[in-house]
Amino acid sequence: MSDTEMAEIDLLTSLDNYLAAGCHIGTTMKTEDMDQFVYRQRPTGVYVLDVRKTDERLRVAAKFIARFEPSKIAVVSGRAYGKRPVETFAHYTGANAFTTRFIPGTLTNPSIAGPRVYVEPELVILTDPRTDQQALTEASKIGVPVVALCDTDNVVTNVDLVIPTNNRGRKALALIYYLLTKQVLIERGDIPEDAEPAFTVEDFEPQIQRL
Amino acid sequence: MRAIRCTSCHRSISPQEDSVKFECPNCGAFTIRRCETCRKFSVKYKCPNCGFEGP
Repeated sequence: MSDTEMAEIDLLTSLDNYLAAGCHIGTTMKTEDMDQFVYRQRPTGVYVLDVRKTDERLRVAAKFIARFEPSKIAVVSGRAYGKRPVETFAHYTGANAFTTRFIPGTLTNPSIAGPRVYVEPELVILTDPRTDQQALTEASKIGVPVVALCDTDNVVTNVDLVIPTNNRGRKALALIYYLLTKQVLIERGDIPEDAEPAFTVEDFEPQIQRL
Repeated sequence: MRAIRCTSCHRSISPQEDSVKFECPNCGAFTIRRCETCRKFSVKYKCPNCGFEGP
């Protein structure tokens, strides 16, 4: 598919925004699970994701997330760049955010000790299935569906809905979570479809710490 | 009593295994069930109602 053909397709945000944020950039590795979402391989060896499929999966994921009660959704990010996007997503949608170390037993041990909390979510959203392996394993044990942002090198074991995107980039994660938040709120009927939301992509973007 | 079957492999699902059930992410009209093995090996599922293929 050529670039002009892709631009004609109705996307959640413009193709330029996706490309500027680097949502399409994968890694030099490709798993068999993610083969269906790969657009092409650059001469340098980097696999490029199909933005059209990312957009399509974002819409489906938003529909799926909107069906659950907000307090029964757990959003997990072990990555530093995922912290602010996940916390902002949780703030606007009412989900539970887990951005620090995921304590083993959070989803499986009702008598977990100390200040640690035990939650019983009905849906788990992961930023990276490999980094958030503990949350993925516990979600599979309690039998709740898992939505995950997956890059080209991820294995989608125990994942029930894949959103193919670059899950390492600061801007990429910010844009994906922004679009997901906006789409979830539209699906719930909290904001009208054509209106601009009260938040921007910058609200989701982590600040760079300069030393 | 009818056995609960996996949407991907149509095998009956045991209550002891770590299976999952959820409504189709796209249409929400059909309940998809995935057995432990299909989740582990990421076997594709297809909604018979809307044709959505996952994961």
